Amino acid sequence: MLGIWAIVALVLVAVGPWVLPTYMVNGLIRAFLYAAVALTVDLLWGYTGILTFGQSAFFGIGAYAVGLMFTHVGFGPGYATMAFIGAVVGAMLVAAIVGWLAFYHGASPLYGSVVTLVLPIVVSQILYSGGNFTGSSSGLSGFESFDISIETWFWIAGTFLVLLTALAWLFVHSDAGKVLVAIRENEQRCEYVGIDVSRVKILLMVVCAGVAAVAGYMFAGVQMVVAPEYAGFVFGTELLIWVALGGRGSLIGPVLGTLVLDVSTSYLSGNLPFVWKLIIGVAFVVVIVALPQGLMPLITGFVRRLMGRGGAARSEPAPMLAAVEEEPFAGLQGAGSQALALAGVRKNFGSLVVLDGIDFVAGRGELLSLVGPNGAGKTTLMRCIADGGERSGGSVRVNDHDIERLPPYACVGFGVGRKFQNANVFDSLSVAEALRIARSRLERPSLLRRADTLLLPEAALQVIRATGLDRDLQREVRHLSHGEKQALELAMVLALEPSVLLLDEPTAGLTKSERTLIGGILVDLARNHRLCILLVEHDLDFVREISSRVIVMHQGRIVLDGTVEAVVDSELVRTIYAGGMTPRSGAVA
Amino acid sequence: MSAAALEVTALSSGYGEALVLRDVDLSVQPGEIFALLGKNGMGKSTLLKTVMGFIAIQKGSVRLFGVDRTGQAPHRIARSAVAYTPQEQALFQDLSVRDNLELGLRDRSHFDEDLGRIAQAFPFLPTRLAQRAGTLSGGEQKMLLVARALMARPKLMLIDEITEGMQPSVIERLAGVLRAECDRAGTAMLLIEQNVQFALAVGDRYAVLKRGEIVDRGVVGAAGTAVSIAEHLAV
Amino acid sequence: MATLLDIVTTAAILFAVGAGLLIVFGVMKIINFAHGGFLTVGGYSALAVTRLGWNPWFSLAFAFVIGSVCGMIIERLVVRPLYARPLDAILATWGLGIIIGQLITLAFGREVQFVQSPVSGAVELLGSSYSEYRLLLVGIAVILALVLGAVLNATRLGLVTRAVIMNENLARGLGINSGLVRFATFSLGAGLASLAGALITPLSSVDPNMGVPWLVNAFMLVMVSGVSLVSLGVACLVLGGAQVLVSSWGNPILGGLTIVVLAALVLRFRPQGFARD
Repeated sequence: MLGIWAIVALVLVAVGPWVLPTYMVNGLIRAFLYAAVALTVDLLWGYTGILTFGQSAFFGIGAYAVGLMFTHVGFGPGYATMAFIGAVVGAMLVAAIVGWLAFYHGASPLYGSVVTLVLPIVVSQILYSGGNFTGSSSGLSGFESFDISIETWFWIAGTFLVLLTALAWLFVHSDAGKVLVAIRENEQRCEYVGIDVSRVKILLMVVCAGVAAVAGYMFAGVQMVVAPEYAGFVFGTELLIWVALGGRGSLIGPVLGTLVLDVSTSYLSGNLPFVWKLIIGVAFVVVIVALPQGLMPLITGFVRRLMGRGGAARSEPAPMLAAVEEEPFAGLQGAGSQALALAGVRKNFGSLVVLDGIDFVAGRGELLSLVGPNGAGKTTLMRCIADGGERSGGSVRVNDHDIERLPPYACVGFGVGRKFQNANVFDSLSVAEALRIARSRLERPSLLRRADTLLLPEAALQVIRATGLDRDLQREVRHLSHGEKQALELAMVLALEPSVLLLDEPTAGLTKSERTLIGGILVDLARNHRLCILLVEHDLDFVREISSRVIVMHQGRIVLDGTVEAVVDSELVRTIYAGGMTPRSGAVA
Repeated sequence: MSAAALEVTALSSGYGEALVLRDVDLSVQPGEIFALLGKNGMGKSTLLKTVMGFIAIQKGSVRLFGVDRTGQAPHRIARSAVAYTPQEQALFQDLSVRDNLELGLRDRSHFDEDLGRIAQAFPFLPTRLAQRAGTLSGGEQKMLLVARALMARPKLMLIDEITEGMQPSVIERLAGVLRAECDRAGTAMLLIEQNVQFALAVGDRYAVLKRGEIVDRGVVGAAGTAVSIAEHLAV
Repeated sequence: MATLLDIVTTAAILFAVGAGLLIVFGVMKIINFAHGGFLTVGGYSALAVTRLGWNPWFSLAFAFVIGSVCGMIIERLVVRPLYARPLDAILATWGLGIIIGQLITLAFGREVQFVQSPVSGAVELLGSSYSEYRLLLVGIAVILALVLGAVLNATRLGLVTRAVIMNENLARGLGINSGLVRFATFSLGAGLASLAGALITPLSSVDPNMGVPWLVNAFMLVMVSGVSLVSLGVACLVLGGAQVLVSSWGNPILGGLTIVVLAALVLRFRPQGFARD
């Protein structure tokens, strides 16, 4: 399917120069290169959720590599190659620095966007201040460049765009491409599934920078003029406008949108310069407010309706489910006898003490429930086990590994799997895709293909089968019921093959039968698969039925740690829960 | 017969598809204190938040003093003489005691007069007006919450787990304040509580919420009240 | 000496430009990228006053009113639907900035034009001659800071606004109509931006894109200030001062980058910026 479209596009590119008028051929060369950069913006913003103003800076670096080399050093095949390498390497280096600055663990998305906004401003200002070296505000022009005809340039740029789009298409539809969407939908969940989100973002930015630099290189090669505006903030926002209008996250939308808009702008700019820009501005605002997905989905929705297909499920066949063959639960390999060991764990927010010195040890096969009134610190404790940066003091060891200050994705590597209370799983992905994301730490996702089998550990398969999700693998997660989403999240956590399973109110919002099902699964996981399970739960009936051990917390401390019977019979616990006042008017205390 | 202060009928609400409250019927009459009991996570706070308009109602209705206020915005409901004391983040920690009190009032021109009215029940307040609310002790903060609610002369008070973390002596004082206010001004009160003994000491009627449904209700003081409640809340 | 005055006057100008953006950010948690557009509106309001031959002092009040009205319209139509989408709000307000720029171009033309300054000439101060208008700006900025501070800290409106900034849901539960507060805040922010635009035009000129460079600087200053006017003042002094120093002793164009680069670095290592913890 993709192949056919690619060939059609290549044919169109081939005949273009003979069919179209000359000025349009010129304009389209430029538009092709802009569209390539817009494509990178869509990958970063539309797919991964990184609002970036800065792709223009990399385009500018590519262009100036050519300008500077050919103006100050000279033109020749060797120099051209050096300029190319300089462009790409230079852009990638800058991207790596920007990525380090913008995507550190815990950075807010706003800060990331701020950095990408600062980048083109810095680059263009440096170019402005470069005196004769960079040509300042007039830029560099009139340098000798490649002796290639306009038609040939058209073929080069057009083919570049088509190939790039095809490659990007394969990438976003591959298993690795789904990771980008997962990051956009729920970055935190990705961290807790073992994905080093910062690294993925930085890598993506570096690759996109290289691509933008190549486009800039070609641009300077054909135009033989470079100016600081090409690296600037305004161009960066123009790219965003094209992507938004075309349809973010659709790849084809931004490409076509850029082509149409850029060509229209050069046509209409002459006749109605300010009105045209005004129209674009209004269209942009309207799209952002009312049609955030851009104009592309209107078209694809229309096409889809013509072809009679719905959108709630994937049309490709579902992957085959298979059980992981080797020793189940990779997390248990090399596990010490102490699955979990906490010593003196403290957490305070300023002067407010939430955890006041927590000590306990838990082993494999234990099903430990954490109970206590609100504010006792139960969820905070869970967070401290799953995220090394969370606690204020003390130590946490998982399978004899000290988690130190390591972020969640590293703790997953030690064998921690955390299930959150509100099942916020990736809404636009299918069930199968979500499960595969959970496997990505253990099985590298392919960059170009989708695997046709999905390997899951036995326990995860059990959950999927018991809740009927195995018949719904291609359904989009947003259409699942609350109970199904909870089950999917549990399966995803189990897919990590953890040895320590942390569950936060797993029965919240579940029906009675769903509760019984979960309870059975958890007991099985502890007893037969020898997981160490820690759960925070308010439903004390549930706790009583399944726990092998109960820890009662109150005001940041452990007040009781023992068997279910010991806790149920405890006077202390009764006081904590029931308060201590004399009742009114004769009621029996 | 005058309308109930609060009338909740067949109320169902929750977060997205997860229903937390299922088909709840409840009414609080003027001049009565109603205790809503139940363990954690059973939906008690959700009920208050739904009545206040913070959570969308999926089915059922909420009437306040005979007026249908289903689906109204929180600030409108608060302005119909309803004082809501949330369980968490109920005070502006960085604002002064005085500012916190003033924010509870629609009209602050009678501040001193209003403060004087309740000062007897909260003797520590008038001397602490300039202090940052966050620097008060836990129990004092809770009393400040009640003072804020009372100063506004509400006709209905919705109080979410106010005794949590309070010392017994303060709890006793609070019970006295609430009871006195109800008797004197006819203020209706809906108290969310896990502290059963406090609830039984101040309440006129009670209900128990379990997994979003009312499983028991009755009059406090009727024989077997405490036993019945204990069955539902046994640890 | 002149350098010191430059630092103070630069800080004052930056404060005047940034104050409106800060208030909007604090209450609504979004960055209003149309702020540059409002600055331009203010500049052109002053131009209109010059063209109509009115008293130049009047341009400040006039600009404020025009800006506020524009702000009210924009809040209802564009900002309100985007409460839950802060990144999209940045883009939409940027689009608005473009629209404002184009409308102004259509109405006034594209050329650089000049506005009459309320005072002109230089003043002898401690041995050197300094622009009287720039010194006046310091005074206006100080008055602005005092008025804003007074409104925020001593009026009911200010108290309600601070409450919404700290905890919007709690405020709503107490009967405060936070939607109205947002509306009023945005309009005020727009009015302030417009006022600042009218203030800065006598220093140079007006053109349809005059707001953009100020926008980015103001934006970075606000990010680094948290939600405190005091922090904003400190940030303006420190970063504005750095800008003046780099511009005088180094390269003026790179000087223009100082605020932006320093702010980004500060935020990387201390996400709350200059604000107290």
